[in-house]
Amino acid sequence: MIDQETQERLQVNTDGDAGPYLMVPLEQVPAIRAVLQQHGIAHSLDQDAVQFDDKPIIALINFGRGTDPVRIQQLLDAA
Amino acid sequence: MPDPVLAADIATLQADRVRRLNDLHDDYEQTRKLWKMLRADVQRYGKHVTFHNPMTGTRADAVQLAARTGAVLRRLNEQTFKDVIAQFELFASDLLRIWLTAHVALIEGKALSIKTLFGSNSLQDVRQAALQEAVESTILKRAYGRPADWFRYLGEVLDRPVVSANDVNEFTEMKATRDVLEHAGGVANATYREKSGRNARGNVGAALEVGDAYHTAAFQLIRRIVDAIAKAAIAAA
Repeated sequence: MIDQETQERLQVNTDGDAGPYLMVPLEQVPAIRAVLQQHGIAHSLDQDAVQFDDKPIIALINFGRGTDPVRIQQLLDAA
Repeated sequence: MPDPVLAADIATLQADRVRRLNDLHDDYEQTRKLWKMLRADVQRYGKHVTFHNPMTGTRADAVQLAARTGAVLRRLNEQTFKDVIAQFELFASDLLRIWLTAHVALIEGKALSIKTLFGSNSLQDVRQAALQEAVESTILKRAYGRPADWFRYLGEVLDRPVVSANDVNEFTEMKATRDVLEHAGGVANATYREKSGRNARGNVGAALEVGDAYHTAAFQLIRRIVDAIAKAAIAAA
């Protein structure tokens, strides 16, 4: 599964001691959530989405602290 | 007999406290949005921004700042949560000052201090100072008590129920969380468990997180109980 805006791999990010997260175009959120739910990965859609100029709206999917970012990345790469 | 001046004073207090709560929440929400915007701009679109401090000559790279967003937002949740809980305590104290001053029979006795007596220039001064000291003493005696006792006391002085049992329990747990954040590094201890009862969110040793939903629930609860108590006080005035 790739990022439809950048055409690059979907990238799971981490910020120090906070939980991992994913920044994705809003329109891709349903498909990504389907993958996460299929594999029992707990997550939440952030209440804030960001749009710069006329670019796609970018949503944030948050994972709890302790969630394995490597596993999430593998699932998304394989989807 | 209804006291319209007292009712108006309480309404003013309520409006002021609600405005402060709303300002607090606006600051919180807007700060969160700015941090997320920075992170998205830097990490997704490769924005290069460097912040310079002319006072110290140091520089902060936006990439480094953006990488701290998660931790910053977590601390922001905790700090503003504590502020929100404190807003209720300030409201309750201010309300009691207004109410007790208008209902002196409810004030608990306190000896007038020599300092106050000798600092007064007239009998009127003495009376005013004695009233203020006694009101503050009455409030202070309650300040360190259990939340359930505060709400019970408020109900007694207003002569009517003020807040639902569910809201009392919810506030009690939130205040216990605030105490844990302030004094125990955010880790639940036996005191937290004892104070929170059935509403406890974690066992001893568990980190008590202030997530977005919990933070929102705290704001909504404080707004709700401030409005409920003000409404009861205005009706009783």
